Amino acid sequence: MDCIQLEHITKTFGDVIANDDVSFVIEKGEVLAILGENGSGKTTLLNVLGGIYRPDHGKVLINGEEATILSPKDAYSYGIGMVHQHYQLVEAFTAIENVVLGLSRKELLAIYDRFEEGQEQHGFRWCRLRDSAKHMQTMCERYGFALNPKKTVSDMSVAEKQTLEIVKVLFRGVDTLILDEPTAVLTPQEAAHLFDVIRNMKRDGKTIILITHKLNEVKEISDRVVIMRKGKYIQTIPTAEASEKSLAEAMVGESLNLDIPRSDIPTTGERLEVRGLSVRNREGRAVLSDVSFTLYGSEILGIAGVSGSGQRELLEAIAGLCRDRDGDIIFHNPKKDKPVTFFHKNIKQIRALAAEGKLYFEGGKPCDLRHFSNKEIADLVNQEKILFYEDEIVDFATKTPLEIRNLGAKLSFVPEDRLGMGLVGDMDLIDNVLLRSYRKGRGKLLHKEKSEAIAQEIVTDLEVATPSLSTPVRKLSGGNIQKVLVGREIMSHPKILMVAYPVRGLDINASYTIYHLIDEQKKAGTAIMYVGEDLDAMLGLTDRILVLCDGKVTGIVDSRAVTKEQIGLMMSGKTYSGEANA
Amino acid sequence: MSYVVSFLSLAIKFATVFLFGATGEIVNQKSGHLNMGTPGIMYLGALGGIVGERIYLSSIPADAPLNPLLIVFIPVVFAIIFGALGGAIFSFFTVTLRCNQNVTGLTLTTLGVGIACYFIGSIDTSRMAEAGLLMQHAFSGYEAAGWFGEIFLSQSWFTYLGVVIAILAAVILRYTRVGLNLRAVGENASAADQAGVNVSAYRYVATIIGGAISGIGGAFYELDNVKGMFNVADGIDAFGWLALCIVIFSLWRPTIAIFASFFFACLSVAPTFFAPYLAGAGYVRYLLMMVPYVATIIVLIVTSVVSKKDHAPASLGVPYFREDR
Repeated sequence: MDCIQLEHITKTFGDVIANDDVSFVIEKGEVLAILGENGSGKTTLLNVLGGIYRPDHGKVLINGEEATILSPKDAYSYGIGMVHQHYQLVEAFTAIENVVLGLSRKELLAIYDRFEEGQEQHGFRWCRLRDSAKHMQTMCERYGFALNPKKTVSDMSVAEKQTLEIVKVLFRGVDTLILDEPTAVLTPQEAAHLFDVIRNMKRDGKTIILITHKLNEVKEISDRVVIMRKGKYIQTIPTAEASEKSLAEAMVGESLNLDIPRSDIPTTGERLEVRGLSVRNREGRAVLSDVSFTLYGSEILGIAGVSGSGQRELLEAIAGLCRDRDGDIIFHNPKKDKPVTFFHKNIKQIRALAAEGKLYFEGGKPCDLRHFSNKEIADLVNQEKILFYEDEIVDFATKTPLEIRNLGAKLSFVPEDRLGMGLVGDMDLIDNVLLRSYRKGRGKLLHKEKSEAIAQEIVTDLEVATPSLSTPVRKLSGGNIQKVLVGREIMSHPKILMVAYPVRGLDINASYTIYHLIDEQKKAGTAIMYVGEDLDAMLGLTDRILVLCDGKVTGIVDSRAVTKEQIGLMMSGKTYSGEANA
Repeated sequence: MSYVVSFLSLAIKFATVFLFGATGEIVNQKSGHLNMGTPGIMYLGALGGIVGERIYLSSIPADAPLNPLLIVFIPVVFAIIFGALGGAIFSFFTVTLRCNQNVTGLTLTTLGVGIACYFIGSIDTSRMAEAGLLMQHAFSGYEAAGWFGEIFLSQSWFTYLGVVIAILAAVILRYTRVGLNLRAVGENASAADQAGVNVSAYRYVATIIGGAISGIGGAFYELDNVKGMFNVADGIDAFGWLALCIVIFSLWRPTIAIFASFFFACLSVAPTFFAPYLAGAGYVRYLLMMVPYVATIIVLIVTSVVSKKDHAPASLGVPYFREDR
């Protein structure tokens, strides 16, 4: 019988049990999905098979015989290769250098034999890079990969890097491929292409093990599903007999409500006015042209578009991070009937505001400060006795990114590489929270107590799985890292919240926690701009959707009245006539 | 003219010390080991060289003529052993015990300087000066080739050995599978491990070989440059630190290091060489001696501003343990 059997695998890290007595069988030639939430031990388990981890107990049987897999090299010798979620490529090397890395002359010649089957060998055989590149090209053509062997990895797109990882593994002649969350960083089109590749490989007789938490992928590509939960093996289901809902419930272990929350509440006045915004990138090319819209309080505005249509630039322009821009970005700071504070204004500015007639005393009397001393004004402000008549109008064009942040417009961007931007991997949760607020401390010393409270709130509310608040963020799993990244911005109770890809790579439960958090903020009066990849979620969560195509607005539509197909058409450049009313 | 010739000839001598240090360090760093123990390893190499020479000198009758090849060969072998030992200590601490590389390196420097200075002072120096003079020139009759001979053919075996090792290192790093694997270990140890490269073995071997190469540099300085006239060893660590800078300046390429070493050697030699010809050079000399270090700072700034991409191995200084992720 051709199969791989995992028997009673247990793996612990300190006190954490990552895998608890896991046993199941992988049949030859199947696409097996390993489904589980973040932190359910899927990756750890397959790392045992791939030779990265040694199990504490249990064994691996290959074709009925016990296999000793002590290193990735051993795994290769059993025909098992793994493509990790974080690519294992040498950035400074070319594609072909990465492919032949670690192979001895003997191993290379054995690989060449596979490609040169039937050809007669005579004389000295070279195994230069160009010989390997030739064979790599042959293989790429067979599976339909587009990859230049001489291209340097650092110049590659994410999809190309993934292709290279797969090529690297296939080149070594493996027949069992483990793909860890392969679509986490791919666009829908790239993911579709990957699935074609998986089908090709299956047709070629390869066994594919797919680690994932995305239900639609499981349904689309797999033959059988192994479900894991909290380090334990739960069950194996033939995919044909399962529905997305039943899979989700088996994975989470409880019945699930897959409805995205959308509170229907009235908006609370203009918050942000964008008029004729155009942005050029570093090369001077227009990436946004003539974008105009108004954002209201207690509203979620979705920004839809094919990736790279200017979503990122729009948010960055508002946050003050793009300087080369035209047009107005006007912020209506919700100050009406709120007290003046020293947080943004000094005495001189308060006197000026009073002279313009923009302030009043508690009780309704107009505020004339000409006969007050600075001391008296300070007392009044501290007692919150001076209030604003109207919302304060602020032109973001005149403000620095820091000032914009302090005014309450927060940007949370989850990049493809979650640790690359926004968090410092070696610092713990508290310090990462502190990074956003350390300037507010009085004096030169850091005030950790408040950050600690916020960090605790993030951990509790978002159920971040971490040994303690002082664990370096780098040691958390991807999903948990992201909860910290997104949670930090949301928890700061901003006035304008801009979130981009907040659920990128998150599991079901965590995604819904994030959706709920965003909706909570909307209920609290925050004006929210949401950029996401999943159109279904966007339609369910947002109030209005602004569609971008090539940096131009192709329509602003009411989420309740529009279909996914209409959005899709607008994303490809068709304008939509029915403008939405807020 | 004769000043220029003797200046360049002396600069090449100094450059040889730099070149051994830098080549050794490049081999180290290509494996991801930021070995700040290089100055100490060069001291250990110096001690090894002296021990080797003493053993040879003691093994022959007191009035027997010295063999010009053995007088170079035996100290080199001992310098290699001592330097390799330094590299092995470094690897043992950073790879096996997973200590911090910076701390280990600095400690190793202190250790190397201490051990070498302690023992060197107590070694019998009889006939050492004679041996030092004997190993000055690899070829006799270099004067026949005029100024070219004076500059390039008048050097000792060490210099030619240094250039050969640097070129060999460059070729191995650039064009062989072993070199590819070694570079991969320094760039991304985890990726190399996944690909089946034995990261620990590569780091151990590269650091030991690197240490051996650096060690020869120290031995050369003690035996040839100081012409065996040492009471205490001093100043080798300065070469070691500058060698670390040369690594950066030469963008981690041993072939460039050949020229970079020469350049730094010129800067180092110039103040002492030209000081006698300067009026009132009594204390100005000390200011001039600062020139190489000031130049180092300027060179490093210029290199980092001019070079667009970072040439350093990406996981330089980063420890690797497979299950730690």
